This record gives sequence, structure tokens and C-alpha cells, in this order.
Amino acid sequence: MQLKKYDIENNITFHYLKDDKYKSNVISMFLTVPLLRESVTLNVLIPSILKRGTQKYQDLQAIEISLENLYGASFGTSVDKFGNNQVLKFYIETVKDSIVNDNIFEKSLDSFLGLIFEPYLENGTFKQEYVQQEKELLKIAIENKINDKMNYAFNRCIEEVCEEENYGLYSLGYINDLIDVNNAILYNQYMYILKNAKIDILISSDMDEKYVLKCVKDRLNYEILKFRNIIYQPKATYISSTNNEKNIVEELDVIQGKLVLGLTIKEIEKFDTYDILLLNTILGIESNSKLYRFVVEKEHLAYEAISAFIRNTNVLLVETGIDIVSYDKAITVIKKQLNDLEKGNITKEEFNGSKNVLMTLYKTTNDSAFRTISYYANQSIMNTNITIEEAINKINNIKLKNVINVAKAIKLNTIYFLKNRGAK
Amino acid sequence: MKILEDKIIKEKVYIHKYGNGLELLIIPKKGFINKLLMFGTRFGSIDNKFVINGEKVELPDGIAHFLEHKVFEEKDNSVVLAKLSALGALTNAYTTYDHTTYFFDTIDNYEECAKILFKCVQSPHFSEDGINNERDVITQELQMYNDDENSKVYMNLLESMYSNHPIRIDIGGTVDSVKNIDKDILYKCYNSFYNVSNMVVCVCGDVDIDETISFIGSLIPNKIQKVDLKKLSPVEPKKILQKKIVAKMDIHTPLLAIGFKDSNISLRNNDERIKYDISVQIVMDMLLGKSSNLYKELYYDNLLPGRLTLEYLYVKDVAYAIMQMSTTNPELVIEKLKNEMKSISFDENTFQRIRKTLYGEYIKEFNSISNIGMTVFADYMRGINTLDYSENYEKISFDDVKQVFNELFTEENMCVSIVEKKEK
Repeated sequence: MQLKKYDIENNITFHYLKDDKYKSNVISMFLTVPLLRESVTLNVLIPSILKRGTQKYQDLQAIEISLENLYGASFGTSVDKFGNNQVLKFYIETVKDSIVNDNIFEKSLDSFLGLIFEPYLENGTFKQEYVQQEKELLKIAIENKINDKMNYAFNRCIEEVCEEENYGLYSLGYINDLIDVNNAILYNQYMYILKNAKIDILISSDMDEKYVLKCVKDRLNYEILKFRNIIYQPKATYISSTNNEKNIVEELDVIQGKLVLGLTIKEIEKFDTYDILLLNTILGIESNSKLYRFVVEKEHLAYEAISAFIRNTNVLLVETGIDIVSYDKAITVIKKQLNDLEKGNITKEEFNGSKNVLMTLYKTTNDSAFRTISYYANQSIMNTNITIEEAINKINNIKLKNVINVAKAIKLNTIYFLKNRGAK
Repeated sequence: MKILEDKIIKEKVYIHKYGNGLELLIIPKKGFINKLLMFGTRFGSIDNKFVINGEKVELPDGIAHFLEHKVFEEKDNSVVLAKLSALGALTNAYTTYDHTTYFFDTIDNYEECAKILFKCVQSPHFSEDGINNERDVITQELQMYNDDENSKVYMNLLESMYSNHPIRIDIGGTVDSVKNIDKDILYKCYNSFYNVSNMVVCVCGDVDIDETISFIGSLIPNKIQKVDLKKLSPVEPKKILQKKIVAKMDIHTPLLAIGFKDSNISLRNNDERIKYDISVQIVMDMLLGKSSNLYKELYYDNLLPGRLTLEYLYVKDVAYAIMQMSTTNPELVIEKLKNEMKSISFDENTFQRIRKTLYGEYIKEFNSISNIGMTVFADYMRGINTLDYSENYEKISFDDVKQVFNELFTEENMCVSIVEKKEK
């Protein structure tokens, strides 16, 4: 399924997915700006402050009541790293008008745009009390990064691999940055984003395309959106290969050790993205992957062992939770899998089976409005224009030698291990 | 064949019962490309005492889950999971309190995948070596949860709330309890519970009803195996075992789970259970949902920096409501909740609005093949038809909700579990 794409006024891209099978409409907006040390924390605060009050609904309770009145419209935000960019994502999901016989779509579009473009202001800036509070809550969220140990280990490894690159920044930002933030600084950053972000609006619904487009255009007449100058980085983050592998061992109170290997792909521009994604699938996505079969099934060192290719970077990670004493064994087994990929020790079953898995993952995107939207938003940010069907076709035609070539370009960068305090 | 229908959201569930006792649920979803197939048995972690053909059996903790892991192993030690993945199917299995299920979703090779899955569930092979290896994998799974603070706060709550009911035991058992699981006891469980007359199949996707009935029929034995099985229910007092439990972990912000023990579940028929479920959800939203006064107060006091979940869970003879959150001051939140429970006066407009919100959320569940399949399947296993929920949203009155509040949300039924930061 392909989204219709339109460039509308003010440098905004509108994507529309007409669908008849889902029960809900999804409206989303992606604001993409460069990922920078000086603005990473501020940008995380923006959706938080917007959720606190709008001109129409001045506090979070009033906002929530208005959303509940739309048959429980779910409004969500996130701020994610994507290559050299930071993407501020906003979503609203509502039940389709045709099911509940009500004009929910337009009302939810009003609420949605109100939440993004019409924040509650006092003396021309964000309310001081809200800013102070959201700073405090973000501080706690950053401190909580140690809570989920596997996730912590994963992020720490990325931080080590991307030490010199902005992609290594912690996705929620830094506590020290918060000290000097006040309502004026935050409001300036908000205005800066509206003026300079790449803006993608993606909508999925069963309504007529022209009607939806008109609904959006009629409402996007905000002064701030005039004469926009888009600044973002479609180019991928690139980490240079190193000959000095880093070994990082940290301690927290854990029962199980969390092991993450950070790998980089040398001269990634030489490879097709789908070759890399297939390699990643052969290595560690499903139960026919090398990591699952050897780390879990054969050596029973772990319950899970997976790999992840970080899109729009040249970083590949392997992660698993193991008994602390199994550290050496686990590394040997994982390295053996990487080595086997490089040597071309990939069976026909592994190769074709992994192709099937990867194609299934792409095909099933068409069964979820959120995944379809997310796919095309990413395409837009990467400045590429490959449909899901084209991607499937490319995967189907990948040759074994392409995967081996990618494997040969993989270099181990960092081994990160989180173990219990005082363990040997 | 029984056909259940929800005319408003246009969904149907077809229920067919074969001569050998197997039940088949078909949920046709036009336009979706993915197909989900689930094959499960009414055997979960709480079924730990039973009488089979006159013999009383008491099981080690975690055996239903252990058995789930072992069913995927075949005679030649090859593992079925990899075969299914290679065909492009995403396969998994899970064990709950009251059932175990094996499932895959796929676009291609649906029939071939179904044959493989049915064969492995109907003719597993257990060897001592295989069991020992799997024990290592399960131990790592349990240790992963032991490091997870959310799972800790939840499990501690159930352990404190219940004196005898096996719901107080982790579904996977403990690292020690799984040591007592051997080949004989696995076969005994398998032979007792994995009899088609105790099993249910669910197919969700764009499928033909008659073809599905005959295809699934061709994968199962015609003969009825006579098994005289009686599950034994524990006697659980109404009283909470221990009102409060505190654990310490290496985290930053504490976690709090507040439970309310519902001791009257066995007195309600299915319709009453559905109404009760919806009513409890409404009460919890009115008390502490995002639009409530209490939520606002806690948020303004920086007491709710993270996620808050409000959930009501019921299976055949056990039910509880649970409020789980990350909070900077658990004691203060408990105190404020207790005060709110004493002083709240419910407002009818709020009731109407929340009811509408929950109905909207129910409708949105029907957006994805796996959500629908898993919800309908899990409900069916506990004797409930999911589509019956729809009309019950309408039926619930303001008085019902007030009654549920007075009956369940008392200090007597309340139990709290806290995970605090461990000081180094």
C-alpha cells in the first residue's frame, strides 16, 4: 500500500493513506531537526510542555477530558533519534466517524493541531509553572535510565560506539542541560523548530482524499509556518571503523549479566540497505537466525539473543542476557557467528528462510496503519522513495554474495557488559 | 456452528465444535493479508493440582510454562521454530494463568505452517538432555524477569495478596522449582491436558469459513480420547495475606503497585463478569485515570513521573484490580488514594464520558489481527465471548459503577507492593 504524497504550502509534506479495514483514523506529524548536543534536551521537553495546556484547554485535565469526549482519542508523543536527526513525533488515534456516527475526524484534527500549534501561553511565552515541572519530571526520567537494565546496556553500548558522533547522545538528554532552561529559552526553541523543522503530516482514514487534504490545508494557516527554512540531515550517521576494540564493564545490582556488542559497517554507502537488513535477519531476528540457534538453542546460554541494525547509521548491535560466568563463552559463540557470515557459512535454509522472514516483516506493515505511516515517514526523512512493495522485491532478489560482502565490512567496535556489583 | 456478531463494529466470530471435542474459533477479517493461527490448551500456571483418571497429581511450579518450551522440540532434536520462520511465519508461544498457546502469523505458506505447528503440538518429544538444556534457557528467562523491577513489584503484590491461590506464584516458577521438572512429569501433564477435547484453535484473517473448518479438521485425530480430568481449586480466604510488601532494587525512582482483591468472582456468571470488568475499569479511571482530580494532584506534585497502568484481571476463580506506577513517593500516593477513596463523589457526566472512552478503546482493539485473535482466544479460554462486551458498555449504569466501587475499592481489600531504591 502506498501513501499519496503532496507538497503543500509552507514546505510541509502531506501523506495520505486511504484505508477501509481499520476501525480508527490516525493523524500524525513528524518534526525533524538536526540532532545536536546543545538542543537534544530542550527538544525532548517540547512535546512535554505542549501536552500541558492549549489555548482552548488550559491544563492537562481539560485536555484529557476533551480527548475522552472523542470516544477516547489517544494522543501520544515521542522524541526519537534517527541518524543525524531528532524527530518529534505526535499522534492521535480516534474511532472512525462511520462507526460512531459523529464527526470525530475533524474534531480530533482540531485538537491535534491545537496541541502542536496553539500552546497555552502567559505573557507571550510558556507558563513558568509548567516549564519548571516538566524540567523536574524529565530530570527524574533521565535518572531512571538505569531502571531497565537491558535497555540501559543497549544505550550505553551505543554511547560508546558513537562516542564522537551525535548519535551517541542519550535520547532523553542530560540533567545538566536542564539547569538553565527557562520558559523563554524553551519557547524560543519551540519557535525555532516550527520555523526550521522538516514537517511531515501523515494521515490514515477511510475518508475522501480531497476532503482530508482540504481539512488539513484550511487549518494550517498559522503565521509561524510562513517562510520556513528547513534544516535537517538526510545523510546517515557514519562511525569510522577502529582497530582498537573497546571493552567496557560496568556494575549495577543485577542477577543476570547484560551483554551488548557494538559493531560498525565499513564503507556502508557501498552496500544496498536491504543487503544489510538481510544480514541482520540471518544473524539475529527470528528463531531461524544464527544467534537464536547457537546462543539459545545449541549452547543454551540465554533466553534471547538478537541483533539490531540501527537505521540511518552504520551501527549493528548484538544483545543478550546471560549468566555472568558465561561471558567468555557467549562472546566466543557470537564471534563465531559473525565469522561464519564473513566466510559465507550460510546454509540455503538460513539464507532463504531469512529472506522470507524479512519479507514477511515488510509485507505485514500493510496490516497496520501505524507501521505504514512510520515506514513512509522514515522514507521521507531519509529522502528516499521506496515503496513497501519495491522493498520486498529488492529483498527477494538479494544474492548471497551481497550479504557476505556486508559481513566482510563488519568490524567489532565495543563489547559492553553489565554485571553485578563486586563480581569477579 | 455458533455465530456471534457485533453489528455496530461489524465483527463476527464463528465457533465450531468437532466430534472429538476440539473447538475452533474463526474471526474473518476481510482485506487483511496476514493470517494468525493459535492452538492452545486450557492448562496454565494455576492448574497445579488435579485428579486424572482417579489419581491426584500435584505439580512443581512453572511446569505449564516449561512444557510450552518443550513442545517445540521434535524427535530428531530439530526445533520446529526455525522451520516455521524459514517459511516466513513469525512463531511464538506463551503460558498464562489459565492457558498455554502456540501460534504463528504468516502471509505465505499458511497451510504448510499449520501442518507443522499441529504436528509438533500433537506429538512432542521429551528427552532428559533436551530437558536439561531447556532448563538453562528457562533459568535465564526467569533471571531476566528477576532483574525487571516492574515484574518484581507485580509479583510481590500477588504473593502478598493471596495465601493459597497459585496465582501468587510466577507463571514460570522459580529457578529452584524448575529443577524438579523431569520427563515423567512433563509427559503426565501433556497426556492430561493436551487432549484435543481440552483444546481450542483460533484462526483470524481473510479466510473462508467452510474451508477453514475442513482444513483444521484434517489436522486432528477423529477419535475421542477419554480422559477423566478434574482440576482442583484451592480455598482462598477473603483476607489479604500481608497488607504491604517492600523490596529493594538498583533503580532510581520507586515503583508502586496497589491491588484490590476481588473475592466474589466465582459468584458471577459470564455476563456479570463482563459487566464487572467494565465497571471496575470505569471506577479506576474515575479514581486515578488521566482526567481525574487525583491524577492532576499527583502530577502537579511531581509524584507521577512515569507510566501509570490501571488494570483488572480475572480468570475462572480469581480476580484483582491493580494500579501500577513509578512514583517519587509511594507512601504519599497511598495516603492520597486512601483519602480520595473516602471522599470522592462520583459525577454522572464523568461516568458517561469514561464509559464512552472505554468503548472507543474496545473498538480500536479490532485494528490488528494479532490483537483480535489473542483477545478473543484468551476470553474464550476463560468462558467469555469478546463480542459480548460491546452491548455491555451500553448496559452498565451509574449505579452499577458506584456499587462496584463500594464493594471492591475498600481498605480491607487493598494491598500494596513497593520497590525502593537500594542504597549502596
